[in-house]
Amino acid sequence: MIVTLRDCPENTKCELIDSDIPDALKSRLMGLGWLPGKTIQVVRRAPMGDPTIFLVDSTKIFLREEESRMIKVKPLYPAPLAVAEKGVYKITGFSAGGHRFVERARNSGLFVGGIIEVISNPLKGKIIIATKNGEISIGRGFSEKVFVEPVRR
Amino acid sequence: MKRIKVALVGNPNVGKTALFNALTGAHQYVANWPGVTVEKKTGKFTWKDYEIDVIDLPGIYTLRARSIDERVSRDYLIKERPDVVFNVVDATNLNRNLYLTIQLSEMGLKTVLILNQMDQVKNMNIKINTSELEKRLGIRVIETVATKGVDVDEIMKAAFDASPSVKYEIYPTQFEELIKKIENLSKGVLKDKGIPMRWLAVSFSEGDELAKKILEDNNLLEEAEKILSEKGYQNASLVIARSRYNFISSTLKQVEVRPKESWTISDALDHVFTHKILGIPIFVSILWMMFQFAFSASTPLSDLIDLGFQTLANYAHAIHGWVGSLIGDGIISGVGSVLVFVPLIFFMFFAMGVLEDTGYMSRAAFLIDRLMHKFKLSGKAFIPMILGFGCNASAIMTTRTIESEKERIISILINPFISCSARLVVYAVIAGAFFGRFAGLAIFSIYMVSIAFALTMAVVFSFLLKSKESSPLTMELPRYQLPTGRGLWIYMWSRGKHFLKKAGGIILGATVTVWFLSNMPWGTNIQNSWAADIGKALAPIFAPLHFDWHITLALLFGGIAKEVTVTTLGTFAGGNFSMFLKTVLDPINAYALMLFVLIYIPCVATQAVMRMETGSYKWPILSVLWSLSSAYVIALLFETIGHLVVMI
Repeated sequence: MIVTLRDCPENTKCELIDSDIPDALKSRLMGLGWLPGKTIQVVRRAPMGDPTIFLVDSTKIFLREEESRMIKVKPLYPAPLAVAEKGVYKITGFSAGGHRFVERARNSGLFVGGIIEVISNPLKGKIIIATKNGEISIGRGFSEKVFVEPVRR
Repeated sequence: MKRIKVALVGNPNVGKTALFNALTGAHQYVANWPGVTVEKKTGKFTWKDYEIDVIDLPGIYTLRARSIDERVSRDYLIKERPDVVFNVVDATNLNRNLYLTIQLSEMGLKTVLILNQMDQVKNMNIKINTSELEKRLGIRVIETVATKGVDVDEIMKAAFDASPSVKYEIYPTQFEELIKKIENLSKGVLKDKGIPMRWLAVSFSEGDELAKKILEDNNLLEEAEKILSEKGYQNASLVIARSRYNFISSTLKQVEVRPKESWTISDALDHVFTHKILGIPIFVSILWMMFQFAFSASTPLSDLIDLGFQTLANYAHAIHGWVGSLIGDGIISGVGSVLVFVPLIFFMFFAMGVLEDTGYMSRAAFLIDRLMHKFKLSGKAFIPMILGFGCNASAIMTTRTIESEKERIISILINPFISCSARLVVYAVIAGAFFGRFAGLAIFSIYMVSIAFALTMAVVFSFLLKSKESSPLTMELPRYQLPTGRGLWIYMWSRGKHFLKKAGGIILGATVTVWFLSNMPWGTNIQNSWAADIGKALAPIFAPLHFDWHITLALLFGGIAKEVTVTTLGTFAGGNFSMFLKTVLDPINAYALMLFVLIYIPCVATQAVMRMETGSYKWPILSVLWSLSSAYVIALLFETIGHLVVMI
């Protein structure tokens, strides 16, 4: 699925896609080594939710929401559920390791190694998935912490 | 003796200024964050029979110029054609840095590659085969650690060995042919103008404005466009960038061995300093610690200097007549009252130097960018704001990194509201007299007001100027570094010395003038002096603020340089500020005076820089009127409310 860089939560790795970025930003990014095909790692979002630090080729830079919305990327799996398109996935891990988080996840039928199906992911608001326990909808914050990779049936 | 022009070119924050210092023996300040050099600096040194002019250009990632500082670099390289370019690169990040090297070769410039920060390369276990790199790039390559000094002989020899120009044919064959066509097309017309043809052709295909303009001015634009569109290369910027990076990575494969990326100390520090919950509290406590450190570390020294001046003044009073009075009351108490704060100012700069050199400052920019954004500013505007705590005049010059002209004007206009170090002297005297144990807190609160007021004004000005745009922000987070003693010393000295110079020049002059005015007509009591006449004439204006004629006069002279407020009061106080100030002010008036000093008019030097940077008298005049009236209103409001509260 093609998403914008802004859609990618912390710890996502994604591939930069060639797209229509305004020239001023594009030439600057190119000078920093941001070329289509490069892997971008989302490192940190600022306390107030913006800007975000990204890592490309061992150089860290930060960009604001406005700019990162202009940049199109393809998430590399394992990726957070938040950027997963329709399809069947295996859960590979959680980025928030707390006991309560894992327990909450387990109660919703989400555990490491478990198989789920993404039914709809509008990139804003809730994601609807199917687990063994049936269909559930999960919030964005939660979905950013669940890492998945696609399974072929 | 022959003269040679050498230009230092490279990405931001790679050590150009450090190399500049090492070559010329100058003491330009170097920080571990991007955007410190915004205009070219020149220096000189001699080597053998040569006189060498060194030009330190602002850091750039590419030669496609967007902001003023980038334009400064590009225009210099195109128009001035230096004899040699020292392309300074961060050796730990060759992949990105060599991009500019390729562009330099396209400009046909004689280039020496300076691999700087080789100590970091060792620390990070990176292996670089320099002679192989030299062979592959066809240019001389020198390894340095510029912060620790350089081998001038080695570098200069390389400069003379450097091959005149190298050409990397790195683009797809079809595209190379197009470039050649455009080159041939323009060669006929532009032959003698010294414009590098390959740069012109490639940059034009990239969509560069300057290249386009040059072609247009020579009636070549249409034809050049036709050549590109024949093979569908109208928008070749991606092809070009990709070819450059491909060339770089294939070169580096043969030259460089990097260990697998691992979790470094820098990453660990970033984890804490940019933390969602801890980040901002840490930032605030660091600022607080900076103040506490500067105040407590400087107190004993300041006391010592104060004692010294008092003793000197006593000796001076022993001299009979007006000479004794001029030296004792005028010069020594006046200038002395400012010099007492030299330790405070230096320690303040020391603390700021630590923050900048370690690389923390760009993390701070990251943490509060959102806040700045709410106030219609970009994180880039944050840099001049922070530098404004040192000196507004020099801080305003760093607004050149801001691309949007309106945002730049706004940054310039709000900068004087950031409390500079000169004003710290005034607060220290007033707070010391009235707030005792809480003096530090009172001053800290003024700084907070300063930030809040500057940001509020940013919103007001952006509304008035109808500024909506804010420039795209791509700020780099450099690796953390241990500051060096030498670096900190240069930082502290290069800024603190202005303060000393001012004390010996403009402040001394103003002090003598004040002494003169307050002793004329000769032999009179100060109450009947000319100074009193001027002060009393203006005092009615400030009567609502309860500032008497002494304060009025001090504020008037303070417009020259903020410290003069203190020296003027010093002339009246005759050595005992605390006693004197308590006779003319109460604590609420005193705090109002601090607020007034914070906001009212930028000093003469700042006004001059505003004029220079905006190219118009309009903005400094607006700034003076605006700040005077807001200072008046705010001080008045504070006093009225303050006195009401006290009455209750």
